[in-house]
Amino acid sequence: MVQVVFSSVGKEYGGNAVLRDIDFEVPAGCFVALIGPSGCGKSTLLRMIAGLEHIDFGEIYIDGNGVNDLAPKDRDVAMVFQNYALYPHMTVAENMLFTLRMARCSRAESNDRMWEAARILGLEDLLDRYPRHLSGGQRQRVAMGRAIVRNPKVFLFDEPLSNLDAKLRVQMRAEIKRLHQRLGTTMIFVTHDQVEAMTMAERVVILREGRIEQVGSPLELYDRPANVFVAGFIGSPAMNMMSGTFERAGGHYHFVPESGDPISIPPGALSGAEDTSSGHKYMLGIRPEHITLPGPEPVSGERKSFGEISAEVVLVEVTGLDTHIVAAAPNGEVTVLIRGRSAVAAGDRLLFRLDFPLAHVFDAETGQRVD
Amino acid sequence: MASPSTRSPPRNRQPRLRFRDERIFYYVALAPTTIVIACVIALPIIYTFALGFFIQNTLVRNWRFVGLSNYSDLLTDADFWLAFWNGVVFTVGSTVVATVFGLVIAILLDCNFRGRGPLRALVIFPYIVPSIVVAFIWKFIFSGRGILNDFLGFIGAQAVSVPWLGDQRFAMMAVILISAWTWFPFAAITLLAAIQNVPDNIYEAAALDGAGPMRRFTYLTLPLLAPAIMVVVLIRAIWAFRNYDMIWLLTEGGPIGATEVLPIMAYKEAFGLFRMGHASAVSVSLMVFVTLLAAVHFRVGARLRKAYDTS
Ligand SMILES: Nc1ncnc2c1ncn2[C@@H]1O[C@H](COP(=O)(O)OP(=O)(O)O)[C@@H](O)[C@H]1O
Ligand SMILES: [Mg+2]
Repeated sequence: MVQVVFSSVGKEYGGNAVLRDIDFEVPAGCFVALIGPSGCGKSTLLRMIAGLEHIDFGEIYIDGNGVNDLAPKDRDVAMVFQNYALYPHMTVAENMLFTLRMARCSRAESNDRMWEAARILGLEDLLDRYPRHLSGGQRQRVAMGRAIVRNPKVFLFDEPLSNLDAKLRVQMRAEIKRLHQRLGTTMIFVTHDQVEAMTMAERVVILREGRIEQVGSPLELYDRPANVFVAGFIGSPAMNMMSGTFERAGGHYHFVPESGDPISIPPGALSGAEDTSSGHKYMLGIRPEHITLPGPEPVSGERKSFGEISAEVVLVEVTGLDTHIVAAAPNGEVTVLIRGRSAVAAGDRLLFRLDFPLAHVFDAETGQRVD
Repeated sequence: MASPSTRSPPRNRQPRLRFRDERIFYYVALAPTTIVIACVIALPIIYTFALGFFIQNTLVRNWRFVGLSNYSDLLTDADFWLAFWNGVVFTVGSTVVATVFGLVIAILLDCNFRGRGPLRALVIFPYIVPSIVVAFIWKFIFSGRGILNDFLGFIGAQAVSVPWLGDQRFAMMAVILISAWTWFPFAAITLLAAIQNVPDNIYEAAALDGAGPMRRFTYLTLPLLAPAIMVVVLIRAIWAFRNYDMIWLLTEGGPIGATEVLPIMAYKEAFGLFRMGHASAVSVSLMVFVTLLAAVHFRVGARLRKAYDTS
């Protein structure tokens, strides 16, 4: 098992930096997901590992060796492309044997390895077919087979599931994960789909505009997003955000949104790092599942309890498993996720209680987490 | 296909034209075109076929039926077989040269370099120059006192200076080269389009699979281009075998028949010797050969397109 290290890696296209200061380590045998919005440089970074793009700045190490000057074929990495890139004039078997043939592997051993890969991926019955006679999922499998026959040091996947339909995608997700458990090879997986990243990877690297926003395990990213971007990117429905200031009054703290009533904060819910005296602006983030519905809006004048705001329900979405309630509060829309069914209907005016210890506080200026 | 409304028209409508009536209408509509095509294409072909069974001299104007004797004359005529053989040499030679050269140019034009755009446009040049101009340019280059020989003299190789187009040994070679020069742009442009049709990812996958540039060429480029190469070769071969103007302009079939091919022989028979029957027999044989090539073209083309469908 092999480690991949990025040291201040950067890339430019015609003077535009598309990747900057990429510094992170893929531990040996780890399954890492690179995730970020379209155009943030994920594919470029993956192709730099493969040797398909020049490494303009910094250094990439595979297994402790700098690979900047190595040709793709000498890096011993295999890549599964988004469009699979199968050789159209070769059968499934020939597609998988090609790399072994290039490596002048003996016929007997080549065949053994090809059959082994075919067996793992369930391709035995398709070996004589041409790619054009395969379904999307089968092509995907052949592309993976072509990668695994070589037994490479590192597997690279560039959005391999994005051309599959939803059901097949879920199935292949599990299959790739099983493959990783079975082979134990280091895998780097690019996706723009946070569900894929969260469900498959042991570590997730979030990129935005060519920079790393955060590296961590899926739950770390979910529970402690390092900044507003990560907070908004990970999780669906997305985290609720409101900007405002912290103030102390009546023996406890309040979050004072730009518009609407102050929200009182239960004692001990703030980390203490917040500046509560000078009117410094913060973003308060709270995940939809961390809001509860204690009941109808109280008659006016009645004091609200800690963390409560009132709002009017504008939309109720059901998924069958749970219910999403979107409500219009004075300081913007709030999305709430309720497990199971709910009797709430559009037009209801309700109290919403933010589960404060689970709220996230970010500096409004820098977007960074405040703890 | 038909929606319910078209299947059951409203009852009070006029009865629609029935199938038979429609067909008559189609025939009427097609008639003018058919007649024109018949006059300009079918009639001359039939006339030529018919002439082949007669001896007819333009000067005398009487037709004498001789059955297949024009054809049997041809089969024993050494000039006919020489022209046939010259045609094969010219066809194979200029096709191979034009296709190989076109392929090389296509691969070069596919590479990324400064000035690729203008160069791509420039490559078309030999193809759009009228044959008469091409012939003029190359006669000037290849003549006894032409640029080529000046150059040979300059590098000290006067000994090999010959009037290239006027020398029995070199005329065919020169004609092949010139003809290939006018035709390689077609090959280059067609093959360039085919090359660009191959997704880059396939080459990248092969690079990761351990194939260097040479092996990527032999294992990917060539097989993937095979259908396009095949089409280029066959179109070119058909064109070359019946080509008349370029050879006529360059050598008129000479010297001493060294570049005389079937179309030129037919022309000379008809308008030099006024033996219309013989000329027709030559033309018909030529047509048979070209039709065979075309048949191969369609058969092979269809099969290859199916086998190498990259979608
Ligand atoms: N060959 C190229 N020339 C110029 N710009 C490029 C090239 N390839 C990618 N880019 C730019 O680099 C950025 C990152 O691209 P890419 O890595 O493909 O993004 P992602 O895979 O995350 O969607 C994009 O803004 C894209 O426009
Ligand atoms: Mg991409």
